[in-house]
Amino acid sequence: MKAFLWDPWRTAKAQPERKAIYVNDRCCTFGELIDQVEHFRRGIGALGLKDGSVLGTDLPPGPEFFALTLAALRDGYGLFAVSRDWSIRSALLAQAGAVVDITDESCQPNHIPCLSPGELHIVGAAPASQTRLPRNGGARSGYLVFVTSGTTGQPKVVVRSRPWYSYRGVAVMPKYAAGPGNGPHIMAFPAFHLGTIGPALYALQAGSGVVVQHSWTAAGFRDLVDRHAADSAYVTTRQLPDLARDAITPRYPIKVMFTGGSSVGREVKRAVIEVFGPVVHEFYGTSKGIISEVSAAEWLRRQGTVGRPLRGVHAIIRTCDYECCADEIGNIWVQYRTIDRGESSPAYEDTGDLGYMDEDGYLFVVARTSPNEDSKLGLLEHLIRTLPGVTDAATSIASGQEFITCYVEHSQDFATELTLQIENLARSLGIPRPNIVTGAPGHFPRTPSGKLWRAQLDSPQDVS
Amino acid sequence: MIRENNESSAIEILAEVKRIAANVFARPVTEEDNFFDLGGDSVSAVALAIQLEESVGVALDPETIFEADNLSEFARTVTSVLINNQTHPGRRLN
Repeated sequence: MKAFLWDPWRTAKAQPERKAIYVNDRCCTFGELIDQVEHFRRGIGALGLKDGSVLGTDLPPGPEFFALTLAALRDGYGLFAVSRDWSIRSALLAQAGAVVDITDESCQPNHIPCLSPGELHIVGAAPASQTRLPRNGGARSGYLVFVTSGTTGQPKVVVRSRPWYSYRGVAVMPKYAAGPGNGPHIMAFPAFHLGTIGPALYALQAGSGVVVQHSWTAAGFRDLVDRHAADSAYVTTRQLPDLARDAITPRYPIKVMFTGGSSVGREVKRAVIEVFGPVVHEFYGTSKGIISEVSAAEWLRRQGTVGRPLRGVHAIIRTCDYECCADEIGNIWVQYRTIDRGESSPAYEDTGDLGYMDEDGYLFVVARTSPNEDSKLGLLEHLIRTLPGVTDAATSIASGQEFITCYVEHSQDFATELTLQIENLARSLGIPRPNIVTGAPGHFPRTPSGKLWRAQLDSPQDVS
Repeated sequence: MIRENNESSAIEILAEVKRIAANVFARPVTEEDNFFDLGGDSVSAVALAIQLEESVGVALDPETIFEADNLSEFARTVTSVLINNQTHPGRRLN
């Protein structure tokens, strides 16, 4: 199949009854979805917002959320989806420059007007609004704004660069298993992050339906794959160990399972590939853009890699004062594609990750960095992740403390042996005897994007 | 078009690649321009590939444009595919 451009308006025209969004027992068709998009477009148009204005929303992923997102992309607005769970939501909306908040909650003490989706419909239905809808969308496509917690837990607004062209839909590529001829995409982690919104929005625009799994279990995921004959899914690195443990292959052979957001333990990834086949497709990037991707087949040939930087993306490994050689660990700096970079961005940006690049240009992410940690800590974390049975790990020095603490999730019952191995690794790196806290997979707190939440790891209960 | 000999084919195809790229990017381009520096992405690559197929009759995987350092190099790839297709009809470069 050749690549082609496609958008949900074309799906609605060609197959209006095709299922677009499934949430629990509810479902809407592409015809209904686009009808809702058009209502929203008219409503937003009637507000008289400036081109490029940012709309805030806390609508949960579902028909209204996707309709609002498509309306924003089509007519050149920024969409900032930020959960109502953030206590500083108002401050984040202000930081993002949002001018209106589309919410189905009662209006919160924002400094901007709030509208419910129903009110937006009513505004758009007024006769005066009919003339304000751009016939072919905005001169430039809309864009997305995210809030990222990184690993520190400190929320930060990240504005994705706005495309220079008007809305054109997406490029449908066979490798992503979405399109008019493909089954739905499962959004197994419906949070407001590029990693999870991106693949779902891509699949929807390409012509596939989206199944939102609001309550995660591995068995539930498997059931959705079978029930909907799903061809693609996004699962977080936190969910992968559950799938490995569940170890039951769905009856329907899913084609691609996207993952990313934080490093994936080799053992976990191998186990998931054994269960699901070579379908795990890992993305590495930040909220600003994708840096690399690696298919299961490529990963199996070079285990642990996150792939080579995408064409147009340049990556270098740096320490404080020089560029590292092949296989030498340092900070990963990237120059995003021009289209992702934005006019004011520096040429190269620090990803906040520690890693290395092999002689063939494959990137390996070792750990996150923070101002308080040096590369030995990151290296120790990386080495711990490679130990048998380890599914995730983080190393840190808590504020005011002298010793390193290693937080290690593992899937097997040999904590004593594991502790000895970690102590040996630490000793080999010249690190004094670390505190070691172990737990089963999923034991430690995570950030909303699935990384171990270092800010909440400071009070070890079970120091070995 | 583009049938007299390889040299004239290359010149004509470069001109066609530049014309289509200028259309896709909505701005003037030169043969030294890099696809990504122009602001290219997968959407632009597919748009370019579709227009090129319509115009020149060469079906290319859109990611082929990612491999080229500049439009001139991409035009050479297109030329070689075209010549190859004329020599071996029915084959497609991926």
